[in-house]
Amino acid sequence: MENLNSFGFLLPVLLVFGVIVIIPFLQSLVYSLTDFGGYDFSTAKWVGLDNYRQIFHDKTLLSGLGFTLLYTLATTMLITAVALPLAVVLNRKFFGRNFVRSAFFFLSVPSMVVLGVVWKYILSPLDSGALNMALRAMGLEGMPWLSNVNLAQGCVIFIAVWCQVGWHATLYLAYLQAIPNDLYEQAAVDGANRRQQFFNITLPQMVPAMGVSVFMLLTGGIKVYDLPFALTGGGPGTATLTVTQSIIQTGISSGRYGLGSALGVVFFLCCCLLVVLQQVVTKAIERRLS
Amino acid sequence: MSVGESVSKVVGRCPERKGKEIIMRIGRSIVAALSSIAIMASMGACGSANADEGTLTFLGNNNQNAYQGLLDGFEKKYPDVKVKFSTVTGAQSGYQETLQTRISGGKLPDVYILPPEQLSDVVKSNLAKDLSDESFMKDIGQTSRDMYSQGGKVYGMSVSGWVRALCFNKDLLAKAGYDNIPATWDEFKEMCKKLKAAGVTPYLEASDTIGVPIPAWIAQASAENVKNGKKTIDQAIADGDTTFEKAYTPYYAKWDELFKEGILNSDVSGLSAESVVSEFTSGRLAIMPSGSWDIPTLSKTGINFEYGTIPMLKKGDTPYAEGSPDPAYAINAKLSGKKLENAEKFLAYVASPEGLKAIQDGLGLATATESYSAKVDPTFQNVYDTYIKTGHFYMQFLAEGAMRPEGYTQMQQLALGSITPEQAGKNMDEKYATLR
Repeated sequence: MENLNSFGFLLPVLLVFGVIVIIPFLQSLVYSLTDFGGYDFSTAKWVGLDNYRQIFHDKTLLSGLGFTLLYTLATTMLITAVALPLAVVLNRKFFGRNFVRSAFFFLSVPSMVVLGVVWKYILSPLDSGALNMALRAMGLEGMPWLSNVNLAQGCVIFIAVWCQVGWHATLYLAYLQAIPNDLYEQAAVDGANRRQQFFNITLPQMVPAMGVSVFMLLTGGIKVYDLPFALTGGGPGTATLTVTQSIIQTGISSGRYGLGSALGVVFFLCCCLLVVLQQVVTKAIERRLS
Repeated sequence: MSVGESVSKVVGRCPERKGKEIIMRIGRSIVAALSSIAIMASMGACGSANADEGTLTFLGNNNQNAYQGLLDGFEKKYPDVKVKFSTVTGAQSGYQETLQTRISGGKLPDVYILPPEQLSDVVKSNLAKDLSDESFMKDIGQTSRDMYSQGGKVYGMSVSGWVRALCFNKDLLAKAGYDNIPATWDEFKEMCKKLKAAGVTPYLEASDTIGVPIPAWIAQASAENVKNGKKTIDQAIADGDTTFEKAYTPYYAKWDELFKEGILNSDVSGLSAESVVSEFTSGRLAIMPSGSWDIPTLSKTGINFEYGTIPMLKKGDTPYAEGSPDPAYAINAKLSGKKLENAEKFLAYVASPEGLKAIQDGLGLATATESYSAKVDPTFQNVYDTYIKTGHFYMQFLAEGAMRPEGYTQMQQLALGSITPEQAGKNMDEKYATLR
């Protein structure tokens, strides 16, 4: 009976979810099996799995998939590795603590597109680029920041980490403040130093927070579009092309809804797989630590 | 436990009755919201069904201020017709997606702007009226008619065009002893080397339009083919008579000489258009690809600039440039009676000298028909006369334009030195095979 009641509460949300996620997904599934051009579905022809075959033979799309995975894994690992210690530092008492907390959090407020445009000027590969001018003022050579494959990929990942780390540190901070102080006091009485306290108290207590943060980073990372698009437009070549940009370019802008939908379906399944994997790993870690 | 009791629990102090009341209120709100949506939808449907025949709906791809002169002029000439204007959040971005959404939602306006990339799909879906024999089409240039033709019928009326030519800093060019862009590619490279020796950055391209001279050369070769009774290069590729590797590679190789001879370096693969303009307006760059859209910005900077033509491969080659007729005015094919008459009046007004002047003044477009020459900025006159007036401009539309971004991607890789011109051609063929 209680389950039925809970279901009653969930029903409105499920209805909305069904209308804005399930129905469009099923629609995409049907489109992906046709050559629908986005105008008149009655004229579309059934093409079977041709669109799916095309995806796995198109170098550009595969390149987009490669960078998206690199971006997702790199940002998730780097942000987690930096945000957690940062949250511990921000949790300590020091002069100007609130200002520093706000400053880190503020980086996540502006839109990624705005940040991309600003950083495009800073990282311009020309000698007149802000960073290259600073390097030259120090007697160093300018660098081709956005016109070298590896540097461009590194720049996109760096900016993503730079602007998101404060937000995730704030998330960790909220969980940190919920850890009872008694635990640290008892550990201190037992002679545990700060490092031991971090690894034996803070880190295990933070696993649920890490689960939430990693989940958001993975899902946000795999859907990334705005920052690489504003900063590099997917270039140089296809070095920073993302799956979402490919879906828009190949599917929507060129009127190939069938192909774009197939890409969307594959992308959706990849997202589901990644999220399930993440949940399984997080639950396993939680079980082990508890 | 009922749902009402559950709510009572959640809200704490409320008795069971209060919980039920909340549920009922939520239910009523949902029903009210759904009813409102249904009423609004039906009102919308009524609105379109009983639409006043004295109105004309028009979807533009720029903001209302830009079109106001045209709309006012039309309404003054035809006081019995009221234009209901709509646009895409005041900007051109996303216009194609919006048009597509309106088409799939059955809300296509009476007159709309038709981008060339959408011509094929719009015609296939029978959404654009055949304008071939309309009297207002008689002065529309052949390049524009060709661009908006399908199966021998013309479906769009484009009254303006754009080209990407080369803008140069006259003072910097003078340092190398030049007063204009040379006519041939070898002379151009020679000039760039002299500029470089004089300590000036000679030439830069932006990564999102990289390889600027290539379309000009392909257009010129295609025009030669047509003169000799052969197909254009792109048509031959589309028909499977040739490939990108065979047809485009020689032009890729010619452009690649800029890197081999040290005129450009791989930086261009990551340069934004804004960075290139910024270099030019700071007086550090001698030549950049540009069009009439940059004139207002450049005029404010105090730079002594002018526009020149794209250098061609051989002396005597007819000059061509990358460009295209602007998105065209099209009439909804479903119109009939008075509504159709109004739409035709509107297009006739657009093609009239008053309409063309209003478009040029409001939208800043370089309008041109066979009986009308726009008054253009003196710095752009040479380019206007050479390309726009003659229709000597071209843009690749293979796979409805989807091959163009792929071309830029390949040229970026060529600039990086990670592929050869032959490999770029092969990659284009592979991509085209997936899009045909």
